[in-house]
Amino acid sequence: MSPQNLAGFVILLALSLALTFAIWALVSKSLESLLNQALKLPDGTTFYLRSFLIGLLLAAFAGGFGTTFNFKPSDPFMEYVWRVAAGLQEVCQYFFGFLLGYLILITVLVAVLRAKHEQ
Amino acid sequence: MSNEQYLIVSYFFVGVLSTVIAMAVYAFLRRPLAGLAGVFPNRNLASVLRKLFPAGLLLPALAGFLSVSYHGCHESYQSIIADRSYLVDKNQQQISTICFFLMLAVLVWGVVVLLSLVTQPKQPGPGGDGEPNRR
Repeated sequence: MSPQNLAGFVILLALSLALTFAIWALVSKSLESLLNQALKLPDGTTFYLRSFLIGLLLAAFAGGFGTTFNFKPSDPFMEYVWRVAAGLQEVCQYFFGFLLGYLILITVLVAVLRAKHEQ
Repeated sequence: MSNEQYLIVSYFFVGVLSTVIAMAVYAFLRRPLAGLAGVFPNRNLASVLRKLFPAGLLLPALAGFLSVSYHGCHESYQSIIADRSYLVDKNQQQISTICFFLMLAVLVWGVVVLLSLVTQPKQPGPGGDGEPNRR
């Protein structure tokens, strides 16, 4: 792997991780409060919060590693930019899939546990 | 290093890496799951889930690793090892698939834990023999 290809790959991975931590920073506090309220179990909150973080990280790595950089050193700069953009698009698709699944899971969790607590 | 040597080393390296990633995820989630299992209404189910948890992460990781085939547009072994960048692409694809399968496994385990939390054990009724307690 040439240094240019390696640089492209590292930039893509760094951007994916930045997106991961941006989503985590945005959501983690309110998600923790919601889980505390719904589960009323500290271990349950930790389990679902850690699952969320691991899922985001795995989605970022799945998208980042799924994109290959095999350009020649003479290839134009924009080819690298477009490949990074294609990789980010894939990362976003993985994020979307994971967030959709997690959102459904948490919605069911809150609904079911609320009904159970009200019994 | 020749391409064939690279293929052998990288294949087994990624295979071991899949196990390491799965075990890292397991180590990160093991303690909260064990704590949660303590409050599951059904004790036997909690015990089964605690024991199945590592396998439930390791197997998807291995499945992701093994699901990537080197025989794509390349038909023969010689054409596979002729191109180093093709081998690197396949390694990246393997890691990507491992992460994807593990991500699905984590989601599925979330659902399993949820179902376990709301599962009620069969309790004998006030005067019945093994009759569920209906209220």
